[in-house]
Amino acid sequence: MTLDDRSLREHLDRRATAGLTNPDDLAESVIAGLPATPRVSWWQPLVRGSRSLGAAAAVVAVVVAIAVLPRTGPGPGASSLPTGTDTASTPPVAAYPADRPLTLDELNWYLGPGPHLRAGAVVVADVELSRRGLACDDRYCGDMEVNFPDRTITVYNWDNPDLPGPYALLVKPEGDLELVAAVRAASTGLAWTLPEYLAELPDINATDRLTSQAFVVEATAVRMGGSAFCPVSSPRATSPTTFDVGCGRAAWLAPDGTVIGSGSISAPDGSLRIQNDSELPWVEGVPSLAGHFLVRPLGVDDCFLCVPGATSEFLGMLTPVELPTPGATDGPVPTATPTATDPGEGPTFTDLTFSTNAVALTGFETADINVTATFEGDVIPYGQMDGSTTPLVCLQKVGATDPLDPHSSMIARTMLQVEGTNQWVASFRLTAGDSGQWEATCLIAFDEASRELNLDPAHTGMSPVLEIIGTHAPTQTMEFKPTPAEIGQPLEVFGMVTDADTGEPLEGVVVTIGIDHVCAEGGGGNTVTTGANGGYTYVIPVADGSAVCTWITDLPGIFPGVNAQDPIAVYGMLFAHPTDL
Amino acid sequence: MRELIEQACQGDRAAYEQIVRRKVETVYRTARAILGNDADAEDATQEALIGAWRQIGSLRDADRFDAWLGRITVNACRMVLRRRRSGAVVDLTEASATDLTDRRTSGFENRTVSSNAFDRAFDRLPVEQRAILVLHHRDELPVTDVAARLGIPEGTAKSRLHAARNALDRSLAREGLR
Repeated sequence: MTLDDRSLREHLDRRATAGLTNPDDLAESVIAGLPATPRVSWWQPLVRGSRSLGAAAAVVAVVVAIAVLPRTGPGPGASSLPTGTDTASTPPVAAYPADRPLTLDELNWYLGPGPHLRAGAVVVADVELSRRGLACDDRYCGDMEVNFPDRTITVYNWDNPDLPGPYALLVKPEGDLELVAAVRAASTGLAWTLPEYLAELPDINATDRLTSQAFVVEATAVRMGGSAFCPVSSPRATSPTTFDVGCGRAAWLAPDGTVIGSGSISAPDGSLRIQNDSELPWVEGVPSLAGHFLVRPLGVDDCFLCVPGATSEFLGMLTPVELPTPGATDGPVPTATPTATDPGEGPTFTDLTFSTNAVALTGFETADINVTATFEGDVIPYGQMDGSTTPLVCLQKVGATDPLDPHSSMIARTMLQVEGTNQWVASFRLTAGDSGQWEATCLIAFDEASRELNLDPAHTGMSPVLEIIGTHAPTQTMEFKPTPAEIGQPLEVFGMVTDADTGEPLEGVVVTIGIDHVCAEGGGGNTVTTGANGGYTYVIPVADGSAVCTWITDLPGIFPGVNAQDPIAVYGMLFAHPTDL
Repeated sequence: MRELIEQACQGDRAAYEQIVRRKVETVYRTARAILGNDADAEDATQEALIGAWRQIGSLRDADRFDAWLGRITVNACRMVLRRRRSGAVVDLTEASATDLTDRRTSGFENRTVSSNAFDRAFDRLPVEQRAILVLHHRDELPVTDVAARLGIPEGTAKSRLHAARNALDRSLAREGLR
């Protein structure tokens, strides 16, 4: 039944008007919960003020300019905020990341409309991580998210997230976030000076050994001139408190840019040992790098060039964030931000096209749609652990949510290279049952150095849209007898194939029945043909509790796996575990 | 109203309190239609109006307050629904069981969608689809305004509206109503 607009409106009105006998009570309840002042980001009043304060904006500009500068004042925890006459009448402004983390609004502003363009950036933000049901994309699972006023961004979490914020977050290439660690702030601000941190380490190791919290340390990274010989290491499995620093150029965080001469094996005074060849954005010929470093304490029994009690795991270097200046009303268009954890010169794609943007199909008609991606970088065919091969592209129907719809809402296909070009093509054979709008929602590719491109073109506004206008699509049902299935007994699989628009039975349609792994990996199945009433029946001689799938394609008997070289029209496909019904 | 909004944007809590009194019922009705029960609608209303106060500094155009608040309301509904789902169980109430019985015995041609069946079908939709149906079909907003409320392009709003109607039809079908 299709509801007419009037009936729909009546039902929605009924839902809307239930409850709430006294709106005033609810209003007072809301008002009672209002904070005294809105949670205004420190820069927002400055931005608003700059529009109307005229000459005063110049003073504000000075304040903000100072606020975004790195803290340069010496000494543990010393506030380096200016107190000169220029700012005497202005409340001190806390600087990120020295004194405070980013606020929710600032993080939202920083991520901008295309968070993927910030890929690799590491920031610390005071945000609430909300739990949600486990959500998985094609590679990762995450069950946290950050809720901004205008959008929600998934947070993939590897470690225990049950620690209070602020949180260090890494922007992933897809524009999602990865929780690096909860951050323990210094008593005087967010960042710890190196002497502060070193002074705290014994207590941390004594009372909170192997804490999962990370620390932001303001310091200068230095490294040895040449590779170090690293003779000693103990496997973590036998000694979980042992840190194997590995070989390569030894690296430390030092209070200043102490130069370590080539061949030197001395730790700089007052330094913190971090992993050799830490993935820092070193500049060749420049032996030191100043900034804010994210580290996590490690208990160390034995490591080469370690200063007892002064070794930590290096997690990343915070990406500098230039917060808005007065008069800025919109966030800047983000640009790629190379950082210590930037994946670097991996493959990129410059163009994604569909061979057509609209097709009308009826009945068993099909249309072959080519999706072409133009890559930069040495993209190669790359076998994945799940049996698929990249480059891979996914087409997904916009807004499709019904799991019982036999018409698949997402199709993935391996791409093939157009000889002599950097273009790769995947061909999708779509049917009337695929009626709706489709977008490319995944594009995965690797280059020869195993560097990965993995993004959602639709999410980032880089996918074209394909509209399939389908009519009289075949649709199918699948049932079992007995229900639930009895293991070891025969199981009848039966159903109907009908015209989705008219309900008329479709005779002579070949239905394939697959069992178990065939339903996931592809392969062969058994075929039956619908009779005059559109019905089909197949009997599995001995049910074993495996999943059962039925499908209708233009190549009966073959399950269309991801790696199918020739496009296959899938008119419908259903899955079920007959013992679970 | 515009003056109140501008005052609230400057941090005037009293002005915002007046806005709350004027908008609370609208926000509640939208949330109630989307969420389908009083407690969740009240939670979403609280969350939306308090959240709007916290974020009011980000409102750059007072004329767009309604659209802005509408978007926050939909987000609040989404959050309430997620929290609820984390511990939700499917409850086949006596009323819904009766409804199923009625459906089986009534004539197909003359069958109308009962309240229980509609609510079950509607509540199976994701909150985004519920929201777009409520904004367009209940609040009677044109697609342009729906797009603004949801922060999506107009073309996307059209296709999502179409998809939401189809999804509702399919969901009703699961109630045996197609």
